[in-house]
Amino acid sequence: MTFPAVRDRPYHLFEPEHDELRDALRRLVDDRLVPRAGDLERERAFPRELLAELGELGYLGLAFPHDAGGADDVVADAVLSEELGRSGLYGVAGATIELRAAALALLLGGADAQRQRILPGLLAGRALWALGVGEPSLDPDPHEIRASARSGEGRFELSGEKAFVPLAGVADGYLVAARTAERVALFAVEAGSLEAAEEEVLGSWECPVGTVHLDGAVIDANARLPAGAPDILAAVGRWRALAEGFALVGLAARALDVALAYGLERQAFDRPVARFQVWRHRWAEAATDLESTRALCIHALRLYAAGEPAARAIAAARLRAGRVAYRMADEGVQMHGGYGYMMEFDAQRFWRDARQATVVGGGDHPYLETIARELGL
Amino acid sequence: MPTTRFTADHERVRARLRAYVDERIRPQAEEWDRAGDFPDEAMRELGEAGFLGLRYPQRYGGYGGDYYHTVVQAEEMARSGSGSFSMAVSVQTDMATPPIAEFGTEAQKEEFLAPAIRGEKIACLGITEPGAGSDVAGIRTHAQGVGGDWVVNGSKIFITNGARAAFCTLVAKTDRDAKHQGVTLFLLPMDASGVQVSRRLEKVGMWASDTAELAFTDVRLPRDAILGEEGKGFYHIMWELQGERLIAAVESAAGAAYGIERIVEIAQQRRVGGRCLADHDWVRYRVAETAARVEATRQLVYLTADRFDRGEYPVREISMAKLAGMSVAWEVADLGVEVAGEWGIWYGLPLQRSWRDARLGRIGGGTDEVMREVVGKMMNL
Repeated sequence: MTFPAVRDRPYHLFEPEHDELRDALRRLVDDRLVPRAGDLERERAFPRELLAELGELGYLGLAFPHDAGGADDVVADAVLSEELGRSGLYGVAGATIELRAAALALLLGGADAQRQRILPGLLAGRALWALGVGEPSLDPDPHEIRASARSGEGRFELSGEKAFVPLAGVADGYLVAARTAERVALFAVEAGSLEAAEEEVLGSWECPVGTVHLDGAVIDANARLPAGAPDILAAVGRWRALAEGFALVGLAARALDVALAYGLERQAFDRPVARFQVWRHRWAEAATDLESTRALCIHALRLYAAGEPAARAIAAARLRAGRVAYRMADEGVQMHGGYGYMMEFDAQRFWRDARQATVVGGGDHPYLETIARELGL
Repeated sequence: MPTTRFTADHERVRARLRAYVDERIRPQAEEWDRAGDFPDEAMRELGEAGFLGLRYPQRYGGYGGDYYHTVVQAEEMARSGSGSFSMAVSVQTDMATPPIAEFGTEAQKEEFLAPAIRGEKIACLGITEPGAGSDVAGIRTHAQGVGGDWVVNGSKIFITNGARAAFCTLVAKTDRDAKHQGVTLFLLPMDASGVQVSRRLEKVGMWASDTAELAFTDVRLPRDAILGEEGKGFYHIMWELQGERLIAAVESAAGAAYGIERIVEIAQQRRVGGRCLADHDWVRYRVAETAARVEATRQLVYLTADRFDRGEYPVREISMAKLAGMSVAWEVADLGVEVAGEWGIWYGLPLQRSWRDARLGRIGGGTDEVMREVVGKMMNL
């Protein structure tokens, strides 16, 4: 299957319909998420209803083919990622990325029956699925997976443990990577057959992560996705890196906006803090970084949407986006002075979220490795 | 320890304090952080053990040591794993009380310094206000002379130990029209009528340390509540800030060195891509480079401490040491998270706590920007 669908006019990315989508998302984010972002995180209010609403509006399926109920529009999909990142509540953007990543894994590697059973509910935001790949060994490489699936009598018995699984405890099902006698495969497992425990982590508390214990789970043989896990995960990884790139650019933009608004209001030594030359220049640098990173993301999206080789551009975009978001968030904390360290201000949340987003999934290293490989190194 | 600055006596004190920290503080660091508080008894016990007055005269219950005893204290507290408790202790020994020892009357030393050294009275320092952080001369809290007394009105924010303190070393304006010359220090008992802890602020790090917003409404203080000279408060507090910043630099440089030790442990234990983290070039090189910066910063800090110990007042070097110390401590904490990856953000390991705690260093006690400003000024820029 060709994913994403190749576009006719790839160099004219954003059509009026994308601008309309962006406006609609911005209204939704500004009305529903921004005003209560701090509370939503503190209350660990997993946005299940919002996800269902996004699904109902067709937003979760934007990148997916028409026959899967989607819009076949990977550009619109990127707009979604960026605008949700812009909420400054990165876990919400993250949750939609996890759902879409699981859906994409099913689309690309699932059997027809698996797709028909799971995809419609998943893209509608009603049944939440997440990928469980990483293990406590600290290793994001699917080739190193130790969890096993032993087959017998038309069933698989799973054993092992998945660490830092997104949506752990709230997902309705997991696509877990486990090793069979022949290879590493993904298995679609209903949440009820597994034990999942939420772990406490640094940021994005509205979107849980946790440990999923596989030991003793017995699942039907047809729960295995036919395609090999490394191939599926590599394809999903490219989409994910691009989606995260846009979401992080969105987060960075929010951090910048909030910091500037504060810095123009806060007076020290008889003038607004942001008007000191040192800050003016730092923000000018930061804004330039943000703008060029966003341009790099758009460039990568263009290649991706045109069906051209995009691995290097996507990796570069994601690498830069993570760094820009973290730097911007850190500068935002600094500009707030003592208030930046207080939970009642949003600056610290952007900062925790950005740090978390830049270390999960192997941090910068998968992207550095990809770029180096593309350079022939 | 690489130098002869530390005598056999310093090393004896260090060994005793290290044992105390290993036994009494580090095992509780996580629990205190989760509880959002450390018990007051922890301060009292530290006082009883003799660690709250290492540099203060024996007459007030101190150990009668020199500046390097304070350095030893800060360095060992930096290994406690509790940024919060270390900070509370620093406020007690190196922020709120040095002005009493330096400028206080005998009666003030008996009433405030001696019980602070015993850990009976917890101290806080009231400088920052909602509208004035780095800009000390811009404070608004006002003490009005009324019939031989002082009547204090105003508010303070980000006051470490402020929710539990027995007294506050307070910076207030006694002359609203004068800028620097209108500032005076006071010793204010926190149980005085009209003192209110209006809020306990929630922070992103340093959870076990209480940070208060304080409101003063017609707080009546006796004439002799003034600390030092009337109208000299700005200079007194600038003097205090130098000591505060230097000891903070000492502590952060030592904390950074300790952080490097922990990163090395993690790099040796954990595997990525089938290899030990320590076998990855990027880890070895980043750790090596950061360790070099830590060592350079420690030596800058020691040289500055030497001058401070000789009675000099090297504002330029102190500001550089504070800037460099906080910045390298922060880099080490951030590197710890980066090296450990997902485990770095997991609450089951202290890496994320160090990361959150260390960030305050670049803000508290004068931001990085203020330090650069001071250094620039001292360089005639």
